[in-house]
Parts: sequence; structure tokens; C-alpha cells
Amino acid sequence: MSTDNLDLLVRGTARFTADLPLPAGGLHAMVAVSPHARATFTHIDTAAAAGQSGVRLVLTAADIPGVNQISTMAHDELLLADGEVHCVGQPVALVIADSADAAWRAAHVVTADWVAHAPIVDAREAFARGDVLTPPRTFASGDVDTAWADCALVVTGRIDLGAQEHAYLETQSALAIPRDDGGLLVHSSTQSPSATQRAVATVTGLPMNLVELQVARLGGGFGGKEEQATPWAALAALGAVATGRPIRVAPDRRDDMRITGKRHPYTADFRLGLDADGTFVAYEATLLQNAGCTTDLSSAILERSLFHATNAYAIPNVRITAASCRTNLPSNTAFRGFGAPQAIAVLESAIRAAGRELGVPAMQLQERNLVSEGDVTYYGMPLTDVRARECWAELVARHDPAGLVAKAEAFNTSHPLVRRGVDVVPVCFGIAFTARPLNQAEALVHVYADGTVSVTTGAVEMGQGVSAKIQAAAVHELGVAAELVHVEPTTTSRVANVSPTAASTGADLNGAAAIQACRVIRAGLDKVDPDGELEWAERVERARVERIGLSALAHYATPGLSSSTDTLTGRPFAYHVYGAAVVESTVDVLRGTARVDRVGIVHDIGRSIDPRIDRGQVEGAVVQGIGWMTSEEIRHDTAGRLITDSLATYKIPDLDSAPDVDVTLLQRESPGLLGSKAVGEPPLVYGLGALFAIRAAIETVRSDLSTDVVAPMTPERIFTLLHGPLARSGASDA
Amino acid sequence: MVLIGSRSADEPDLVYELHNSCLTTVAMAAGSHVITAEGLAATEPGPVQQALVEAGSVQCGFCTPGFVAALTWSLLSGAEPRRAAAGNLCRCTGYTGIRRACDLLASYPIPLPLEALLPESVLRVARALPPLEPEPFDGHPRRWLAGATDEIPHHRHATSANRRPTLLRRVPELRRITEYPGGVELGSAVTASQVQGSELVAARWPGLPEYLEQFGSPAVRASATLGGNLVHASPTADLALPLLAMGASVVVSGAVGRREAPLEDFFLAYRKVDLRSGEVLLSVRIPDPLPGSRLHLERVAKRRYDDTASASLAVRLEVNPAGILSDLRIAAGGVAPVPLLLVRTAHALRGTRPEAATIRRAVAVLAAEIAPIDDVRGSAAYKRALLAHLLVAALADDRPDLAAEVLGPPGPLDRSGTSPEAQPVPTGPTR
Repeated sequence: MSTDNLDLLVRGTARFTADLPLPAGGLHAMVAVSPHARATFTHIDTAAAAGQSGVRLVLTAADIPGVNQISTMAHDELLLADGEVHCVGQPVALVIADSADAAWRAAHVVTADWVAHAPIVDAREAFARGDVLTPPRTFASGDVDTAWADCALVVTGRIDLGAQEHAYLETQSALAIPRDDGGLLVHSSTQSPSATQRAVATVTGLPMNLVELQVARLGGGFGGKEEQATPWAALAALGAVATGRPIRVAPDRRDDMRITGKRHPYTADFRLGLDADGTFVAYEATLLQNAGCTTDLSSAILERSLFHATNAYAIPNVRITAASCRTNLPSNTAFRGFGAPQAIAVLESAIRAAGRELGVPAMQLQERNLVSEGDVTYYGMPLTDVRARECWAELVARHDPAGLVAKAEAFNTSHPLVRRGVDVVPVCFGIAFTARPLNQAEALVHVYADGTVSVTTGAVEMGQGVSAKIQAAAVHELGVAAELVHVEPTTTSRVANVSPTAASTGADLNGAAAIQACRVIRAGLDKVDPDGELEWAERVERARVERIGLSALAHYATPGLSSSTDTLTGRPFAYHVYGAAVVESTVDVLRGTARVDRVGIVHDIGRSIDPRIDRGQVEGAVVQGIGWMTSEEIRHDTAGRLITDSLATYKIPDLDSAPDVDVTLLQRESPGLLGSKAVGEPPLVYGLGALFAIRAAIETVRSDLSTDVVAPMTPERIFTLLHGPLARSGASDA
Repeated sequence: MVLIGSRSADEPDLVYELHNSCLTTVAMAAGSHVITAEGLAATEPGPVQQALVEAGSVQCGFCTPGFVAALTWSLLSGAEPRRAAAGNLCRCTGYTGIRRACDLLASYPIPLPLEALLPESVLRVARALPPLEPEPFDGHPRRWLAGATDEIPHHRHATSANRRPTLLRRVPELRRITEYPGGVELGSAVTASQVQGSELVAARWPGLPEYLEQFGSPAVRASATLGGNLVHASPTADLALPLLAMGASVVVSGAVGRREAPLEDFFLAYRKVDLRSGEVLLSVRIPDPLPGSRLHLERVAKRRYDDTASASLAVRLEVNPAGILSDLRIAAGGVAPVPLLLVRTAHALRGTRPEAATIRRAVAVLAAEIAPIDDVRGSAAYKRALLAHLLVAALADDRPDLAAEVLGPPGPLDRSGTSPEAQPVPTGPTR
């Protein structure tokens, strides 16, 4: 982030969407939601709500002037329910009141003539019933079926991965303000300004050119505001159109947690075959994704799972089948990693199981099978500039994982009730939206008469430092001092049809567009000062006098992307990011608790534009991944109601529980912005090491530990694995 | 997160405490000096703000003002920075950058004078603040508020109250910690931080201050009161458990004068205590430990700090020179509708030597004495098995070989069974 943005944040004066003053006459709105996970209704009773003090208006689906539809990928998500509901928390009515508290209280007395049906919340059950969003997809290469015969060892198992709440500290928020021309100005805490703008237009019936959507900054997004910021903005817009007044919608933490979707839980069955030397021969897996009740981004997330099923390994025979299972939960959505961490966890589980069977450390199998230069991924993309082995070697040099294992083993022999475990996780992560049309960006650059520069792109600043990287790109291209370049908040009247700030591509795409725009301006400046003799300000003034344009709007599309997921050929990704991490943990056997002590990482960053930002991204991502694998547990009751619905019961890492993270940035010239690489998502995968390091510690006590893996590793699971019933026969008898 | 400074009549200077702004009503802050992150950067960003930027501790920035306030409080109070900032959540940085900032601050001279943080114009106003008026208290307030750390979140969308309640934290006689012959008495509005910082308490119960690090966060402990913790009567109440084990009693004022009762008799049923109409909890009396007595405290939660325990255990035990458990009191949290004194389990152990067989027998008695339920903090089977292990931890403290012997080979210690997976939680309210 730019220095001035940091300054505002640290002073506490930066404005988030909910900090924007409500204009005169403004009102507050809150949604009434379904109490049932699956139900039908014919009539919504809003009378009690409408009669409460301070309530102005209660709106239902029938009051929507445009089309009741907010989905980006599929037309299967209504803004307000119409006749049926598919999850607890699905919006059914909008209450508009003088105060947020009055709106909240009234929203809770809206009822309907519900006819409730038994919900389905389990992905395997939905799959068995054939309740999938789209037909299951299979990616395959080689010949898995005949390859099993060539294997010296075949391991099978199952893994169940839990959901994860984004826990962005700034909850969802929107403010819609009617304009005098009938249009709307909508402030939204969204990662996806154009998609939100479009949904607002659809719902209100306004043309897109009368809906201006602004995003100043986000207090965290992590994918949770890519698709699911939309309903809040659309609700505020609906209220603003209905009342002619500014409308604020800002759910509190509990409502946000109950209503919005999470990272997709996955359940998977795997089978991995190795030859006698430990070389991976064949890998097969079925990945079932719990999509929740609508498509949201589930199909795209499932596709990224398929693309990442082999992580950083070369495997000649692979077949992965994946399905998005429809359940009666709030629709699960994008979350940093976007399906890749789940798919990688499946293979990594298989590798740990194989290591145990062979009596060989998993890290030996991992190293042996890492991808190398020239390898072709199982989805048909040749890999170039592969850094998997370089990162691994650097990790060995800096952190000596084998030495840490030996130390842990020595410690364990003398500590019956305290056990240590060590695990290593490599990553290979593809950079680009797998939906090709999203790999484009637009930037608008103005040079003002005083020589200062303004850059607007579609990139939303949410703490990832994208503004600072775009500023660096403009500074580099124009050759001006950083103080002269201001990166603007995103607004759809300056840049249009922007892709969401997601898929780790924010800096690559928008920075490249900013460079293109700066080049156009620089070409004009070069005409008035071909020998570069003038100072910047003089050059700008000369250009203005000579009637040379000082503004440029440029477009960028990532070159070379083409792929067919039918034939598994081409290049879905611009490049891959590599890295490896070692994770150490300690288990208190008596109490059944664990701590993740330390993480050592070597991460492929390219030429880092700002090491402080990139280091922070890696540190933050790995701890988010560790939280997902340890203390963060999403639980619903049998009726499909979220019971971990606040930060009191849903525990994200804190200052005490988060481990020390030691990051080495492997800096090599790369194809991303200014020679860098994208950084947002790949390091989250390292968090998987916490799951396996804790399991490794448990295995020293329970040699009968099942190869079936369940995450997160809450104290209850750890306790049960340590002290529960024996997992399989043949183990030491109690 | 803000700093709230106030002056009591007998103190020359303002004393600043760290408080959660969302848990502080305007009435609670009235007459005090409130310092926010914005105020600390009234001119230039303060030392904490500079350290946070320098250390790369700021990403989205939404949590930053909280860390600014907490770390500034650490400089003013001398509290260790990492402990001072506990309870502040950050979702972006993974805390590594924040720890770097804490390390930078460790080089600052502490306690830092306020003059180094705020401009003279602000300090002049603060210094001119009169001492807080003591809250009038006749022993029979009609409506009152103690720490309100549970009350405020439960009524976050309620209509505002018309009557200002009596603020018990401002009643001096309820804030006192005093010695009496044979014990120490704590006023009911004594805060958790006061208990934690009390030399009178620490001298008698040395393990208690460290255990209380797991009670909420520094800001919550600055608000939450002893009386609130007891009257609220959560089954996992973190102050109730050690007090039960210590043999504490409660002093209650009512229409017919004062009465004193054992704490275990105060807890009647789930969230129901023995306070009759018009009665107020005045204080808690803790008898001094016998020579050779020690207090062992155990607590397991999903996250060590700032999390409700799945199960907790407090044991006061006396071992005589012959190695016999001459006396003990055991209290358990999270395994019954109330914080529970385990009378029968203690009885089973009294007069025995802590060995594998006696501990196993006590575990069997324990199983019959508790009645945990499935909820968001874990299955009943888990809590049951966990508590048995916590009892082993307490009795075999410093003797890992004994603990290992009690556990035996892998498998459940408590044969009533643990679940391989969390049980589905039945519908209905869970907290």
C-alpha cells in the first residue's frame, strides 16, 4: 500500500465503507432471513415489522423493480427469496428504518407461512442423490487403470476438510445514494466493483451507466467479498430506489457470519500408487465439494481444484473427478486459494499415508517426485522456469527439515507426554483466472498541470498492497518521484468492466494496464522533449501548451493464455509460483492440545517490488492456512443452523497461537509485474503443514492412526486421535 | 480499543486503563480522559504507530487502531507488549509483523511518560480533570451495571435504557482487596485485572495471576468484575473455579443485613444464583491456604487465550510430609450446569497417596459426578474424557511418568467412550 494509505490506517483516520457519513435523510436497512434450511412459503408476513417504531418500509421480492437475480456465473441466486428458501440465513425481506437497531429488531419479527422440509447439509449425501450443480468433471492423463499393476504400493484413504470463515475484520457494508438524474452512487466493500455494479443495475432496472460503484478500501476480503459483497450493495440500492433516500446496509458480525458463505468443505477419496523406488506412478481421487445452495463461484473453484490436484509433483497417470454438491447451506464462495488448497491437501494426505506404509519419511517421497523443468502438467501445460527443486533445496539449506525431524525424534523418546512433529509442504500454484475473459484490466492515468499523477484501475486495496505496487509501476514507467503518483480508489465511472481483485492477479493485471497507460502519456511527452532535457513539471507544462494529451486509458489482456479443459491442452496459466515450507508442532499428549511452533518458508517471489509487502502476504497467508487446519471450525446443527456464529465460538489465530514465521523470498526475474510474481494465494497452502505436523506428533503415540484425515485439528480431534478407541485391529491392545 | 484515564481521590495522577470501546458505555467513560489512535496521531503518528509501520504490521488496517491503543497502553503501564496486545485479532498479517513491532517497542524506556505521547494542550485538559466522584451506594441499588462484558454484547441492538444504572465499578468499597484474619476479602466490583495484579492474592495463591492471563484479554479483564463473573454463573466461569477450590465464600447484603455462604451454595442452577430480591453480592472471602497447600489450575480451549474453556479444573491440594493427600478441593468447569465443586471425587482421593491406582479410582468417581452436554465447545464424551485427563494432570503434576502410567497404552482412560467424530449438535439454543 502506498505510504499515505499506511499513514491513514495507522492514524485511524482511513475511512472504510461503514465510516462514510450517512447523508442527510439517510436510512438504515437490514434483511430478514430464513430460519429454515429448506422450506417453501406463499406469504411473507411483514405487518409486525412494519408496525414497529422507527420502521419506514418493508420490501419483499415482489417489490423489486428490475430482475430478482444477483448471480454472476449462473442465474440461480435471488436477492430476496420467492416461494422457497434453500438455506438458513437466505434473505427474504428488507426492513428500512430510522436506525440500524430498529431495522435489526424489526427484521427479526418478519415471518412467513413456512412449510419446512428436511435439509441436506452433507456433500456425500447430496452427491449420492445426484444433487450436483453441474455434471461431475474429470481431468485425466496417462492410463490410471492399467498403471496400478505397475505399482509396488497403492495406498487409499479419505480426507474431510472443513469450511473456513473469512473473518475479514470489516464486515460486509454498503451505502447507496440516489442521484438527481435517477441514478445511484453505491459505496460497497466489494472485491468485484463491476459485478456488483451489474447486479445493482439488474435488480433496480437501471442501466449500468446510471449506477456508479465506488470502493475506497476493504478491511480484508480474502475472497469473501468477491461474490458475496453483491447482495448487500443490491439491497442498499433496492432500498434507495424504493425510498428515494440514502440507505446503509451493514450487518453485524453474527449476521454476516450466518448469512455469508465460507471456504468450501471438501470430502475426498484418494488412491496413490508408487513404484519400489518411491516414484509416483498413478494417482486417482474423487473430490466432492460442498457448494451450498447456489452456484456462486463454485464451478470455478472446482476447476481450480482440478488444476491443482497434483500440486508440485510429476505423476504420469492421473485421473481426478470432481463435483460441486448442492446442499442447504449458505452458498460457499471464494476464499484465498480458491479450491487449490483443498485439492493439494488430498494428495499430500496420500503421500503421508504412502510414507508410513513404506517406512520412509514423506519428505523423501516429496522431494523425489517434485516437478522439473520441461515437465508437462497433467492438464497439458508445459512448465517453464520451474523452481520447485530450487525452493526445496533452499529450504533444506536454511531450515534442514531432516535435522528437525531427527531432533523431534530425540525429544520424543525422552518425553512420554509431549510429542513433536515436523512436516514439509511444497506448492506449485497457477497464476491467472481460469476463466480466460477475466484476465484483462483497464487503467486510467491522468497527469495534471502541476505534474502530479493520478492512476485509477480496477484493483481494490484490501491490505494486500496492490496500490503500492501499481504506484511503483507508474513511477517506474514515468520516471517520476513516488510522491507525485496517487493511486485512486476504484470507481466504475473511471474504469469499466473490471475483473474482481482476486486470483492473486490484482497487481499483475492492473499494474500492467497502468504501465500501458503511462506509456501512451510518455510517448506524448517524448514528442515535446525528445532529448529528455526538461524537468518533469516543465515537460508536462510544455505538453499541455503543445496540446499533447496528458491522460490515457489503456487496456491489458494477459498474453498467451489459451486452454481447453476438454482436450487438456494449452496454457490456462500465465506462470506458476513455487515454494516450500517446514512446519513444526508440539502436542501435549495428556491434555490433547497442540501448538504450531514455527514455520520456515522459501517462497518464489520473482523480483519483489516491495519485500515488506510480499513478506507480509506470505506470513499472513500461512497463518490463515494454519487457522483453517487447527482452531477454525465451522459447525452447523442438524437443522443447518450455524452454531459457530461469532468470533467467540469461531477461533481464528491470535498473537499467542500464531507461530513464528521465517520467510525467505527467492528472488529471480519473473513474468509478473516488473519481474515479480503474484503472491496472495499460494502461501496459504503451507498451512497444510500444521495438519500433518500435528498428525506426525500423534503418530508417535498412536501407531494405529488411521490414514483417513480430518481437518481442522481441534483439541477435541487431537484428543480423540490420541486417546480414542483404537483405530484398527492389529495395533497394540489396550 | 481505547485508553481511559481517570483519577481517584487519593491518586495525584490519572491512571490509564485499556478498554474495548464496544464494551464501554458513555456513562462508564464519563469524567475520564479517553485516548484513541486518532488522538495519538493528533500531530504526527506516535511511537507505536511508527513502529507498526516500520515493522510491516499494517495490511488492511482495520485492526490497527486497536493495536495502537493496546501497545500504547503497554508503554504507559509497563505491561509486556505481546501480552498487552492479546485479544486484538488481526486477519491479514499472521501477527509476525506485529511481533516485530512489539520487539521494536521493547527497546523503549518504560513506563513511558504521557508527555512523550500527547501534546501539551491535551495533557493540560487531562490534568485538569477532577477526581471521579464516588458512586453513591446504599447496598440496595435498583439497577446496576458491573463490568458489562457479557451484558453489552447480549443487548447490542436493544433500545437504549432511560435510567442510568449504578456503576458498581465506581463504588470504592466494592473495589477493595483487603486482608482479614485468616484470609483475604475482595469486593464484588474488583476487576479481573485487579485480582491478577494484587500482591495480597499473589502472595497466597502464586499460580493465579498467570492462570488469569487466559481470562478474556487485558481490556476485558480491566472491565470484567469478580462479582459479574460469579453472578453471571457461566458453567465455565474462570474466576469461579479457582475460588471454589480455594474454599471461598460470598458475602451478600440484603434487606435483613448481611449473610455469608460458601460459594458452592451460591450456584443453584444454570445461570441461577442464590441472590434473593433486593440482595447484592458485596464481596468474596478467601481463606488462607494451609501450609504445604498448592493450587493447580487446568484449562483447555480451542485457543489458549481469549476463548471459553471446553473444560477446566481447579484443584487445591495438600500433601502431608508422608506423601498422603491430606486434603483437597476440586472444582470443574464446563461439565455441569454450574461451576461444580467435585465433593465425591475429592473424598475418594482424600487420605490416599497419588498413585496410578488411586488416580484411576478417582477418575471413575469423577465420571459419575459430572454431567457435560454436547455443545459448540465439544461433545459431552470429549469433555468427560478431557476432564479425567485434567485431573491426572493436576495430581501427577511434575511426574510425567506417573501420568503416563495412569494413561496406560493408547485408548480411552474414561471407558465411557470418546467419539471418533464430534457428535451432531442437537437443534436449539447452545449457549
